Amino acid sequence: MPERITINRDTVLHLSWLARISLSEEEIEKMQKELSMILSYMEDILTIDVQSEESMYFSQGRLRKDEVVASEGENALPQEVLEDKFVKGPKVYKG
Amino acid sequence: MKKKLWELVEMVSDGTMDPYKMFEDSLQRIRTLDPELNMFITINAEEPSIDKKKGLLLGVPVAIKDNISTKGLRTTCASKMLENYIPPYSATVVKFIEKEGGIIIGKTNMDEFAMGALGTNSAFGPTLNPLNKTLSPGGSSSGSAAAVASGAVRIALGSDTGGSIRLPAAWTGTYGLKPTYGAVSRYGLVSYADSMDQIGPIADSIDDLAYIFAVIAGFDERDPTSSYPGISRKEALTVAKESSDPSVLKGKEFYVIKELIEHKDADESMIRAFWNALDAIESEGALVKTVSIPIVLKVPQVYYVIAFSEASSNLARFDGLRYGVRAISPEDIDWDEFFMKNRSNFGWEVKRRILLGSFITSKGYYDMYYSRALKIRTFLRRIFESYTGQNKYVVTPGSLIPPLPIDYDASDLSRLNALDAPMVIPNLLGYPSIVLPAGTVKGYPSSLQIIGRAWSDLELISISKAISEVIRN
Repeated sequence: MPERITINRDTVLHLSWLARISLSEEEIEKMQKELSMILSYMEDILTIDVQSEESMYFSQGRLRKDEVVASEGENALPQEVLEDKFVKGPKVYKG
Repeated sequence: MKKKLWELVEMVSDGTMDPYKMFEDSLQRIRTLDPELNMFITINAEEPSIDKKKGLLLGVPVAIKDNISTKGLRTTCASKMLENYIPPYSATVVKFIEKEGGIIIGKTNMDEFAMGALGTNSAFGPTLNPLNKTLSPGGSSSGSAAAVASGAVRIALGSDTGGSIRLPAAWTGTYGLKPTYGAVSRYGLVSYADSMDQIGPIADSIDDLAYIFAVIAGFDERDPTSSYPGISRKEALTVAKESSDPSVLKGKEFYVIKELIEHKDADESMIRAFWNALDAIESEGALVKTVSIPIVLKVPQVYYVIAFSEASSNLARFDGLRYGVRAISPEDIDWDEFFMKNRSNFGWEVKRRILLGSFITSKGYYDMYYSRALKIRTFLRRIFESYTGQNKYVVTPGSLIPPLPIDYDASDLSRLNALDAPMVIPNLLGYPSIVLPAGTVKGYPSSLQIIGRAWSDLELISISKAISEVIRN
């Protein structure tokens, strides 16, 4: 059994960054408690020995023929995000 | 006796019933009941125009869970993130329904992005159980089950990733089917955990359940996980219209999992009711055997590892740029900050699950949790292959406990083990499963769940018809 994982404040901040979800001070505290609680439940799977098993995948999917077909909802973009037919987004560089 | 849905449709077709009657009756009932039960997020009250003469669902109102896209009709996933989202296209199942003359009467309430077991994680408030308003109707397809149980509609669609159709069916005394993975197109379903998500029906009789299933099943080029040729509509319709035949139970083997019925949280009277139902099945010549599968108590944890991992990836698209509300203007702000602010619009349960998914799939933990869970899935399949297949099924109570109170604190997921354990097995394996009512215990609905091997959906329906009749008598 591997060592118990501890979720501290820094872990929560790191996960908040990885998931790109900002959290309030209050949420950080609550998240720390609840993630620890849920992880300790999920750790049960570490006691199941399945080293010799193959992984199961369901979503391998099927490739369609490489032909151009019209997609739906071509005019789906809301006007307010468009500027000169481009989607207006935030800048991608810092500073 | 109550008419079957297909009989009503025939009456509309041959002109002996007003084609608008079912829609109008349903709308009136929704208007009366919904202010209290909160079953619908969006009601589509616009008078439809029924100009067809034929169609399998001619004039039939259908309620659709709000994570299934409906062109021009708001689809929120019960999230603030999508509170104003109007899809530019319809899900394949919605197109199938409309093509057959069915009417989308509204979009039902649910746990946000289908994450929850009680229907209480909705940005639009919880749905109450029509059987007892102090109780949860079960989740995440809470509104769809409540809409059927309250008589607002005869049929509804839900989605089931880890019991989200079947638990609400169990708690509202309705019928719910999670089809084989790949049997019903997921095109237009907002993904939560796409290797387990499946659209399926909820109905107030096994005949109607089978009938709507025949309409929505089938191959779809637009869903890469849809199987070809899949379930034939013709065959499905034949099974749907067949009358029940208890003799099909003769010689069938039903396996009861010891660890579930002896679960520490299982309710004694629910388990007693379960055995009574099995006695009735046995008296028709079925064989009931008890087997020990200790791993079932850990399958919810396996399910959570996979579900959260997939969710953290599937929900990355809700960033205010591709999908979701723009909480702030993109002017004078950088990409990361823009994403982070917009994504703080998720509800608490969704945030928790995405963060946990990010943790599990991060360096150092991926193999430990995620890869291991995928291997356990194979291990589980090997076990369940022994108890399913030709004439073999696994049977469990639809729920080991009566419906929980609407204000139940579900923040500790380990407290839901008794709910999750019977439910998540079919999702992890891609197997079909039906929950059907089996009477009441102290005023609470009791139910059975029948699980079969992949692609045994129609067989499960025939068996469920027989069981329903045997239990009724």
